[in-house]
Amino acid sequence: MPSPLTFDFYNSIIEVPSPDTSVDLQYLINQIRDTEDELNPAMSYSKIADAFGKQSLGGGTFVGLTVQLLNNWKLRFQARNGPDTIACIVTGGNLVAESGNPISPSAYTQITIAQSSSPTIATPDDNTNIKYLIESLRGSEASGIGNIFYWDPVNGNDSNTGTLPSKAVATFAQAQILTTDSNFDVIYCLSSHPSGITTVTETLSITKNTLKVRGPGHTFQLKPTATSNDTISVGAHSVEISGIYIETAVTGSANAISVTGNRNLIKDCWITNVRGQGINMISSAFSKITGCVIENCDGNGIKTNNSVIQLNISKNIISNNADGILLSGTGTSDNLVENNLIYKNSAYGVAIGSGVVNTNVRGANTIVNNTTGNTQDLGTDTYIETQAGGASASEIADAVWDEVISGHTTAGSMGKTLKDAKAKATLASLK
Amino acid sequence: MAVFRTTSGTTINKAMFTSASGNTSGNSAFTVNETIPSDTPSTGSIRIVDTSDTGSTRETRYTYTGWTNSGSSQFTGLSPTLDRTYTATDDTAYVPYIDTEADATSEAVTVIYSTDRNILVRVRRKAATAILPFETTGTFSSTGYSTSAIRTTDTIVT
Repeated sequence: MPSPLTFDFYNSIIEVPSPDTSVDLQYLINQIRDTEDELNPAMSYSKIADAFGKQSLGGGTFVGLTVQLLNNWKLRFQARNGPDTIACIVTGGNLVAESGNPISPSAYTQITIAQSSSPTIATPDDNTNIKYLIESLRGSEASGIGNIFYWDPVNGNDSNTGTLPSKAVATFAQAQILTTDSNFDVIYCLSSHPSGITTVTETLSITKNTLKVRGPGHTFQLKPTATSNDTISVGAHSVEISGIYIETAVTGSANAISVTGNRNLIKDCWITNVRGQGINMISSAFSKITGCVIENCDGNGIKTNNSVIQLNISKNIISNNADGILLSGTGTSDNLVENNLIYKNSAYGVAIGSGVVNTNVRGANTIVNNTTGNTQDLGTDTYIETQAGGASASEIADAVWDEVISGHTTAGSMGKTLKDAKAKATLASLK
Repeated sequence: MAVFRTTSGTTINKAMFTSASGNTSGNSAFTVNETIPSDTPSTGSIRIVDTSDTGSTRETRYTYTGWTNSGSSQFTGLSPTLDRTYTATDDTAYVPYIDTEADATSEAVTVIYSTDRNILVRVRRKAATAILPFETTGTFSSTGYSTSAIRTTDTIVT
């Protein structure tokens, strides 16, 4: 990201600070307009420049940018110490000046301006088709086909447009302001701290329907210091949260993620060191939690409350919580737990509360070593599939051999049938 | 947005006042040699020009909370306090009618009419929706002055 330009209003000089050796005209006019609206001292001076161009010529081509410096303003690159002369360049269109020469000389710099009588800006054609193609590969839940914004807590600035990584905003709150409700917009979380780990203390309140918040994984960490808010609270529909490491404040009782709304997707998140629930679901239909690690929660790994229906919990690793999964509340029904590894939780691996209807715990879950029990079923019409690989061959053999005699003597049992067949055969041979 | 007194056209009158003696660094008042006219806003901002400074810090903007012509002519309650010592008679100052970041769809100031004044109005905004810099001139007379800013969206900046 280029350094901010400096403006000397008395001498009418815009200076590109060292060590930058280039300036793009789009950046130049952005900086000029940003400076012109400052009360001190810019408002008492005339505007610095006019800019023209950027009209669409079709096919992704635009009229090039021309910046005209007014009132004797000039552009200067900061003087160098020498003895080598530094080559500097002005790019991105035509730079002209009302006074004639738009460049002010400085020591040990040599400036090049690439001018053209018919400058154009060529950009790729509409990438809508590419967006749809890529999103179709992500699966049915994801459809981030709207506008894209970048959130960079380290290098971002909330006065930026957020439309490029180099123009990222600094806070999630500002990024969300830039998005449009129900437009399938995407906010990409950038991890740009030199250490490799970007840590954020902001808590996220997601209120825009269909917003997708996508992080790079473990390198982007939400670690709030405030105890009053859940780290992420979703109050919208069809939201996606993916690729983020999430904790709560070290004290308090906040949840890592709380969800109120339908068709929300929580994917590929690492949720740990939580004082409340890992994921707290309230009044949600058709939501999905998948690919997450949920561990070390003082509360439950996943908890449903009233009116959570058709929640799909799959392919998660859930350990060291109170209950791994607690399905509870009135109006909670038709939820599915499959393909999860649920172990070493201090209460139950999966607990199904009374009044919870039609829960299916099936499909290759591994639920082991949970302190109180692996499953608890107080619900109605629950189906809990026997875990594959739950007993060894010797355990099965022992179970057969150790079965009481009466189990083999009742009519219809294998033992009784074989015994009767033998008796009939013996009688037949005597005849 | 800002509304300045002008000498002519769009040239701002930056020498409405000249510095009196005693305007030393750290003071929270600024004394001028001239009588402060009645159409000076009761609170607002004063811009002081250090004429010996030929760099980017030549002008400094302070807000004031009051002014008086009792005894010496003085602007009081300056914030921040003077950042330097100003040279008597050499350094100048001027007071805009309006000099603020607008937080509503209109801005207004009420002053006591003194005489007709030529004024310059400026409105600028670089934000998510930026506008082209707007300025217009007019005359502030005994019936006051009002104008609407034309806020043309700037399609160049990003």
